[in-house]
This record gives sequence, structure tokens and C-alpha cells, in this order.
Amino acid sequence: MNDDEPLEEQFRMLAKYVEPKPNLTTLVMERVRRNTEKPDRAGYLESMKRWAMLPVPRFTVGASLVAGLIVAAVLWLKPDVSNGIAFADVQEALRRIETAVIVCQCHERSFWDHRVYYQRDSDLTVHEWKNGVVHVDDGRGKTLILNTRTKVARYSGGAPSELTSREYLDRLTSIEDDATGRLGGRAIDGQKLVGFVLKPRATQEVVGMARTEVWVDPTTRLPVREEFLPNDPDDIVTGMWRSTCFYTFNVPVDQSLFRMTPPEGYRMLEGAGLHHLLARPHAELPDDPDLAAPTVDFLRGIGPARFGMKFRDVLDVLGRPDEMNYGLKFSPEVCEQLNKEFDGIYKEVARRVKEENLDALEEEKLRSRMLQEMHAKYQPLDVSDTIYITYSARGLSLVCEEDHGLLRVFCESPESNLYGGFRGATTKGIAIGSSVEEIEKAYGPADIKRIADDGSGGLMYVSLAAQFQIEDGRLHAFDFDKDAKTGGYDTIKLDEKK
Amino acid sequence: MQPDSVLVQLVRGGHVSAYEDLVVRYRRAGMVTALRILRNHHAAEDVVQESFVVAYRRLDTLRDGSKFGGWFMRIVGRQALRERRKHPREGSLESMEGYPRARGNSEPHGCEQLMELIHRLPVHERLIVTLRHLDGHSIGEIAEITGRPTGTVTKQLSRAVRRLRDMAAMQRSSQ
Repeated sequence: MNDDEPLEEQFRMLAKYVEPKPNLTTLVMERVRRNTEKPDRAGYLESMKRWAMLPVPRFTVGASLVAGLIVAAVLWLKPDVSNGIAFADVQEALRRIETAVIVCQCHERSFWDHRVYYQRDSDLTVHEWKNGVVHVDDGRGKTLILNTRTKVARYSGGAPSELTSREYLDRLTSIEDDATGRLGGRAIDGQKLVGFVLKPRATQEVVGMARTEVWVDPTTRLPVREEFLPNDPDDIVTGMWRSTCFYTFNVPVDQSLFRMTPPEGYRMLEGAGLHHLLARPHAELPDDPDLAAPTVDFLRGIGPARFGMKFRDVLDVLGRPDEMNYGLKFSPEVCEQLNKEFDGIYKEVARRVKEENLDALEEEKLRSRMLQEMHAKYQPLDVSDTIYITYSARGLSLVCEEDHGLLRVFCESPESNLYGGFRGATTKGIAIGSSVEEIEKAYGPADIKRIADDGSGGLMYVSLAAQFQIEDGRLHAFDFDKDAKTGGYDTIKLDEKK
Repeated sequence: MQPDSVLVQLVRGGHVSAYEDLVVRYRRAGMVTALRILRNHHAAEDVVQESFVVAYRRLDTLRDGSKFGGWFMRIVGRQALRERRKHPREGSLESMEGYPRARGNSEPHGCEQLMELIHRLPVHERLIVTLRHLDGHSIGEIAEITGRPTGTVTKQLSRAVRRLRDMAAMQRSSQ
């Protein structure tokens, strides 16, 4: 832009410059109409008549009619299995299944591809991940975790578990409640299948932004594939959750997987800090140290990402995240209720961690399950403009809004983040594990400081719009905002809190 | 002036001619997005044309008709990126600078920078700026088109223009 020219003049020049050729609208409409409009009926019939009087078409039409009659007769004699299939037929067939093997492909998050084994006469469910980690859930809250590559194992217990094999297979037979439409027959990968549309499984995540399609083999009446698809193919947030699951039913499953004892030759792991050996797969840590261990610059941003940067620009500089989610909009009454329950869940998790001595994996599992159950009770009105971006391997989560860009950053500890935690440091050298004294030496006395006798608590700096979470006298995790106002720090009455 | 939501509803109901209004309304906005990526007028026109056809085919997937503008611009962006991947060498600055002279238009003095700055605005502000300053719609018309209150449009437009001026000033000071 030229300094000397008023903006209006530059807009006028740009308008002239971007003016498309005059016939662009005509060309578009011609193409659109070609797709939709039917030819004039009388003219069409007339031309058909003229064409039919020619000798070659007459012969062709005659031969086609005879061939068509033969095909129709054959099809009439053979029962048609592809049409008229009802969802009730599918459910009836599902009631007779004994085993299921589900291969899940997560297109945009391929590191998450996995396989699940179910068996009706067993309570155990087996999840097998690409990195060789296998989870065997007993349905009563206990999980045996194996790493088939490093031959280590450990038990995880105390937290509620997923559905048992039996429950899952029974639930499959009641998916009729979720069916919302039919897709008709279609050949997919050379196989003729009949499709049904279901409400998405993770309705809380996407609220009307995605759908599930189940494709059934008309011969066996059993589902063979399930697709989770975003309604808007251009939406990269919902698109990240696109997945295809391939079902195989009633095939023999490896019985050695269905047991709660580690196979011979496995070493049992004990104690904290070893869970990463058994963590499910995640995206690789980037090679670039600025991205793998970015520098935190309070009030400015993190690594190459600056506060206020647009969502897509953040992805451009930080790279592909492991997860992205939209925030949800609830009614004010529901929001109030959710806040109350949210606090209750965190207290309950903390109580059980202490009483039942749960490790990080168990704590995470319990918390996510309780939060999931809480959200399932309330139907959101819509998704919000807020987007949550997670880089698991880097121990980093970010919050962006469409209007305000990057607003908030969370740097997690290795304990709360199962994949290694935040590896970077602040511009003044404060990193996860730094002591309270080191933090105060770098940033001065905190505006609010609460450290209990057991060394847990927090430090808050209003001027930095940042808060540090302390465990055992060391920095456990921290988060910081674009400014004091967006983080709500400006509403804190320091005199009362000090 | 029909709102986008009404036009989209009409097109979905079989009134294909209503789509023409949407094409006229968003062709310049589409050109800004495509030109910024491709830097070639002919290629940008092709992409905008193709994008309108793609948008028409996918119209059933658009949940809220009033968001047609932003949705369409995202389609243009994707189509343009696809086109650039196919023909990477055609996106040269020379071809951009040469085009207006060949067409007899004025020199694109600062056009590239202005397009770049417009692209840095949020999608809703980008739309309002192009509707107001490139297509010459009044505030009232934009309010009707987008289905937003006039006050909101006024605020968003002034915020967008202020942002453009700020960004331009920052750009100048960094040069």
C-alpha cells in the first residue's frame, strides 16, 4: 500500500484490478444450468423419434430390449439382496454375532490407528495400537497394559472402564435409535453395500457438524464399514476427526489376547514415572528445537506463535496438532450447572487420587470419563468460535478465537500429560521442574502466592497474565494469556487476595 | 436485495437463477482470494468460475445459508491452492503485473499489498470490506446480504478498515 494515497483510492484501484471478465457470471450459470435443467420435452421426443428411425439404432434398441428382458428375468428369479434391506434386518443379524474385530483408520491422525477385539462370552475388551501397546480392559475398572515390543506390562486400576465386550456387542444391536436416514446401494472398494446414516457417536464434540455412515453387506446384513464424516469437507477442525472403521464379525480371535495376566517373558513395571513406556501412540515430536521445546514469552506468545495470530496462521507456524476441537455453546442455566459439576469432578478426582493412590494414567482416565459423563447429560446449543488445539507430544495446548486469534497457552507437566510434558522454558529460563524460589527470582514476588505445607499450590502474576501450578515445591504446569483482560486477571482484587 | 440465506434457500428449492445473484455478489471477493494465491488473472478467473460450480454442487452441505460468503471464500482458497500446486511456476509476480497492462487496466499500484492485508483480516471482516469497497454496496445492503444488524456491520467495517490502516502502517515502519 502506498503511504500517499488514501485507502479509498487504493480500494478503487483494487476493485478495477480484480474485476473478472464480464462473461464469468454467464459461464458459471451455463455450467450450473447444464447440471440441473432438463432439455425441452417436445424437442427431446422429436429428436429421439428421428434417431430411432435410423437402421443402426433400431437394431441396437431391439437387441438391448431383448437383453434387458433376459436380465430382468434372471434377476426376478434370483432374490434381490441389495434392495429393501431394513435396519431391523441389520439389527437382527447383529444379535447373532459372537466376535467382532474393528480396524479403525483415523485419516488425519494416522498415529491413532488401532484395532479393537470383542468377544461375547468374555468381559474383556482388547485395544491394540500401532506402537505395540495393548490394553486389556476387564470391564470392572482394571486394565492390563502390555508393550509387546519392549515386553513390559503393568496393571492400571481404580478408574471406571469402557464397555465390556458383551455390553458393546449388545449395544450394537440397538443402534436403530441413532439411524436417521438411508443412503441406498453403492459399490465401495468393489463391494456392493447398502448405507445408513447415523447420528454421530461423539455428538458433544461436533454438534451437528458431522455424521456417521454405516455400510452394510446386503448378503450377511452385517455392517462392514463405518465412516465418521464432517458435513463441511472444508472444515479442518471437524475434518481432523474423520475416521473409517472396518468391521469383521464372527471370525476366530486370538484367545491369548483375552486374559488379564501378562504373557511369559514380560517384566512388570512398578512405581510412578514409567507410564510413558506404555502410552498409546501420539504424533512425533518435531525435529526443530524451536517447535519441540519452544520459548515462552509472556504477553507475546510461544515459540513462533504470537498472541492475536489467526487460527490458521498458528497452525502454519506450529505445525499439525494432535487434536483440535470446537468449544461448545450452552444455555446460561446449563453453564452455571456445568461449572458447579466441573468443580465437583476435580475435587472428587483429587480425593480418589489420594485415597486410592491412583497414578497419572488412572487419574487421566477417571477425569476424562467423569467429564464425558457430565457433558453427556447436557445438550449443547451449538459449537462456539473457540478452537482448542493440542500438541500432546510437546505438552502444549492453545486456545484460539475466530475474532481474537491466539488467546491462551497451557504448558503441561510430564505427569499430567502422558506423552512427555512441556520441554521448553520462559525467556528467563523457567521450565517445568523449576523451584518457587527460581520463579520469584526471575519474575519477582507473585501477586498471589498460595503454597501449602506439602509444597503444592500456585503463584499468580497479574502483570504477566500468567499462573504457575506448584507440586512438591516445583513448577508442575503453567498457563498464560494474551493480556490480563482476556485472561480475567484484571478482575482480581489483589489487596483482598494478598 | 435478497439476503444470502434467502438466495441459498431459493437455489436449494430449484430456482437456479437465484444463484446468479450470489455469483455477481461474490465474484470480486473470490477474485481477491484467488489472485492473492495465484498471482495470475486468467488462472484466478478459472478458479473462481470452478469454485462457484463446486459451491453449487455442495450447497446442500452448507448448514446456514447466511454464511455462504465465508464458506465460498474458503472453497476458492482451497481450489486456488490446488491450482497452484498443479502449476507452481505460473504464479509469478510478473504475470500479475503484466496482466492489467495487457487488459488496458491501470497499473496494480499497491494492489498486491492491499490484497495481502485484506487476507489477514478475519473472514467476516474480509467479506464486509470486499462487499463495501470493491462492490460498492451500502451498509444497509450489506446488513441485508449477511443478515446482520446494521450497527454490527458498521462496527465490523470500521474495525476492519482501522485494522487495515494499522497493518499498513506497521508494514511501512518495518520496511
